[in-house]
Amino acid sequence: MSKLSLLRLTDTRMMNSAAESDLLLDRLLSAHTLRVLRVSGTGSRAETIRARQEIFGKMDDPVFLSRMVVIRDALVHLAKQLELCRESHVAFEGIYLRIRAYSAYLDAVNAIAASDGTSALLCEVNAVLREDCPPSLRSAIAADLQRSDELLRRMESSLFLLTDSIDVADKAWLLSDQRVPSFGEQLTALAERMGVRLTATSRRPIRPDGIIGDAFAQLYHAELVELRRIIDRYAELDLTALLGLIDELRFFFEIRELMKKAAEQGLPVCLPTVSAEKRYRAEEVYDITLNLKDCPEIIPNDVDFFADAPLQFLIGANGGGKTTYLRAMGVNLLLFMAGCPIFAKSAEIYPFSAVYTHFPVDETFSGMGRLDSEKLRIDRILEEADCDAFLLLNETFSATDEEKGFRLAMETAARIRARGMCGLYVTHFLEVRFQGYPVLSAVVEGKGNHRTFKIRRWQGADSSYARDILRKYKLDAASLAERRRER
Amino acid sequence: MSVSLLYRDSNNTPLGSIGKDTPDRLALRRLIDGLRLSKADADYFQRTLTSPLVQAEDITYRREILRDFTVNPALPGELDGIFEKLYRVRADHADLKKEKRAVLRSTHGEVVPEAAKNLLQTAGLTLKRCLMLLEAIKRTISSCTLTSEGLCALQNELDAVVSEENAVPLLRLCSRMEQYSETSGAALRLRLNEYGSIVACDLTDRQKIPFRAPEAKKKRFLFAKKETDNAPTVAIDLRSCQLQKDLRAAAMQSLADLAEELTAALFDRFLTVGRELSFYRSAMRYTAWLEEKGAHICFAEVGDDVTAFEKLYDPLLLQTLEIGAITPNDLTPTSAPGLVTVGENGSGKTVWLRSIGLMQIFSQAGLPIPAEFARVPLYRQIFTHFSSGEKEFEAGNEAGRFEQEVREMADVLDEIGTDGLVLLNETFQTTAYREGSEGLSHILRYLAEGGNRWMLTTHLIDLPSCFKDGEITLLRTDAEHWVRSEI
Repeated sequence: MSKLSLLRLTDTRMMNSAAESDLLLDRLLSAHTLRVLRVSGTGSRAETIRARQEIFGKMDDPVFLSRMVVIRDALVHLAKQLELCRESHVAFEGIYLRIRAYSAYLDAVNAIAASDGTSALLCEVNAVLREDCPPSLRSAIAADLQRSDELLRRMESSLFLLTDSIDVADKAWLLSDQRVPSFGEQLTALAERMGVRLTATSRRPIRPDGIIGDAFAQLYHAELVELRRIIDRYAELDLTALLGLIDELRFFFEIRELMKKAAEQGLPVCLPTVSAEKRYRAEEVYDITLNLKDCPEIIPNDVDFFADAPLQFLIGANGGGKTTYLRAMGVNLLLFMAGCPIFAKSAEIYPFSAVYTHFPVDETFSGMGRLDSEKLRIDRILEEADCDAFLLLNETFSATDEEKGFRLAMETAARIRARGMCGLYVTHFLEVRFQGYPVLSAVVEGKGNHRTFKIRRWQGADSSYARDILRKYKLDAASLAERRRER
Repeated sequence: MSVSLLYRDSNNTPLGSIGKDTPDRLALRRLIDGLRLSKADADYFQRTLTSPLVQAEDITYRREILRDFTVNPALPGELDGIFEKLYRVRADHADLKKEKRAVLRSTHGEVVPEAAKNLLQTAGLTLKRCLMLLEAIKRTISSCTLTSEGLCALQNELDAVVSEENAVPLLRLCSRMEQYSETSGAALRLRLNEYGSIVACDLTDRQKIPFRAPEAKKKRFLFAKKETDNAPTVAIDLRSCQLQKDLRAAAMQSLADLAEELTAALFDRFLTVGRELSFYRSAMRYTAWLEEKGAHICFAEVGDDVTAFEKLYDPLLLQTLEIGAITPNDLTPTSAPGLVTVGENGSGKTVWLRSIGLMQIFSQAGLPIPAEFARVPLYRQIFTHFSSGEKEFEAGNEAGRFEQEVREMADVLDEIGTDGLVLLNETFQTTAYREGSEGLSHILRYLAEGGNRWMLTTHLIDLPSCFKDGEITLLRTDAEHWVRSEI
């Protein structure tokens, strides 16, 4: 890891690998932002979350935001310059590009320095930068770059002329400072007189090769010697040290953009309070991944997990919003753990160490049945997770008969409770209502069993309302009887 | 700005519109087809007729041009011949350009020098041809005595574009492009950007560069005039320099692009006129046909609220019958919003309505009509509403005839603004007549209140009594003589 970091990233994972796809995070976020979400920060989790939250909070301030934009743009420009330097194999061009890279580096350093004192994380970055590139060195570079600009401008303002190869002894001649109008300029002037304004097509710049580059270098020998001296003066400077910040800044901008879009849709967004006690309480939390499905209306729900109710079961109607609720909890919990704002009206959350998901998977035909595979995955999660982990189990052990599945579910619940972990267990085993665990249920209303997508703390009805869906597809008992008569 | 022979202001001449089914209902295409025009001319004629002019001065503009062509009958043919060549040059050039551009770049994406040379030569040749043909048009027009605003404007435009001071140097430049080769004495002019890349590369006249190669200098006569000092110079051995070929190819392409852009601009500016000539060619054929038929021909007086005509013939009848077998019609001046025509079946109500509709369309196109006298308002929109019995059998159309009529009427009411004309033929006779009359009278009154006119032929004899004095002019057909009399 680079010393320069805005995120204090470590290698410690904050989620199991399946969580990204189970929670649809891989479709919601870019790869580099997912990389940030995957791992925790150094030191105290709570402190890192607060430090990152500080930056997100300040991004609402246009002055701070513009500083961040300037830093990001300067770093991206620096990366581009360094890439060009790497690609160049012509000495003449190399001098140009190296000078431009120093200029881009100094711009980036100055942009970061301008943000010193605005947030804890930026102060840390600036402290490191003061060691790597102290102010005295910055002043020296600036003075040398000013001189370089003067030298380079002389060449940029010149027009060179490359004569035909037939002139003398198969030699061509490169001349500088020629003001002869080109055929194109003559044509453009004549067109203008006819009332036609021609626009020269902009073409990709052509990089000089060794022969032409050397010729340019000979024409401006003295200038290039001086430029080379300037470059050599800072040969020890590591210009790439800042580049790691680019992806870290992208993380902040991407999350902010996501939140902005949600806010524009009228959806609530908040920076949660970091709880000292093990708790996950959120008001009007919602699943932002529904936006990926162009869902016309997103129904928010409340979440409340605390010391006395760390593991809760969720039961209810098919299509009633159980998985959506679980996903909303998971996505927002991970965002919080990465120091981001979350999609909720308000929240108070404990800095859990990691999130583990367990969703049904397809038969893999790997020699192990689905149930065995589920058991193995649960065992691994419980081995790996510490007591501060949060578990999200979705219809776990549904790949067997009800009695066995229920028994396994209860055993797993007991293990989770014994380890002091928190978790949500979505299931169709209605017997869980009578096992002493808190139970949430998807609410349906009216005669038609209308799905409200609301999740409430109640024991629920003695049905999963599968008949509605069967009737819709004419597979319920009455429809099947009708079919029988028509046959 | 390009000159137009159809529109006084080629960009801003306001145009009216004609309802989608109106040309068919008024048999406009049948009339045009009877003129035996080429398909392209017939299509263009119909397109122009169905974009009615709405200002008196725009109509005068076309009438004057038509008069100039009538006075100089050979002129349209001569211009056609030259424009035909100009079109061919453009078509040939488009094919060649496509062909040459296809091989312009190698599989590595670099410009192939030989292909760039071909492209440059073709571009030069096309521009030269274009200029020479424009000059021919200018000569042809100048040889006639013209009075119309449109043709005089075209003459002025050509004078400005292909003036001697523009054409001579431009043709010289085209010849150099056309004859370009590596030995034709063109140098390359280069400019560097801030990264040391070559950002501009143009062909330049080698002869105009005040430079002599050092070896050549030595051969000067002792008393020769002293040359100015060369600018800084470096000799290059270009034999092994691939980049020189790339630069030359890029420069040829740039110049070819500019020449093509100018050619395209000239095509754009003048080829419209060539296409518009087609309208006048068709108009002259139409006028000649009317004269052959022995009908009186007049240009309608346009611009006020009054509709009136004397001895108006239906042009469709003129196509099939001798003039003596047709009874022309008169309409005494009326400015009532509605014109209701009643009469027996087969007494010519529909022909009457059609002749009024065609008179309106031809008048608003600036063309003469077969009448001794006519006076018409200028309408922004012309709609027709004809009863129809076929649509009810169309697949997927479950509406009855009356519903279809109502639906179509609703479309007209949705689209119409003010200053429109609606020609209605036996509308709302597909329901109880009393209800049809009542329903239609409300709609017609609604149209009139919106500043529109309507003309109805009908068997709904109760309908006129729904209107007050001054709201309509009521006419009745005379089956024996097809003469209408005002009631």
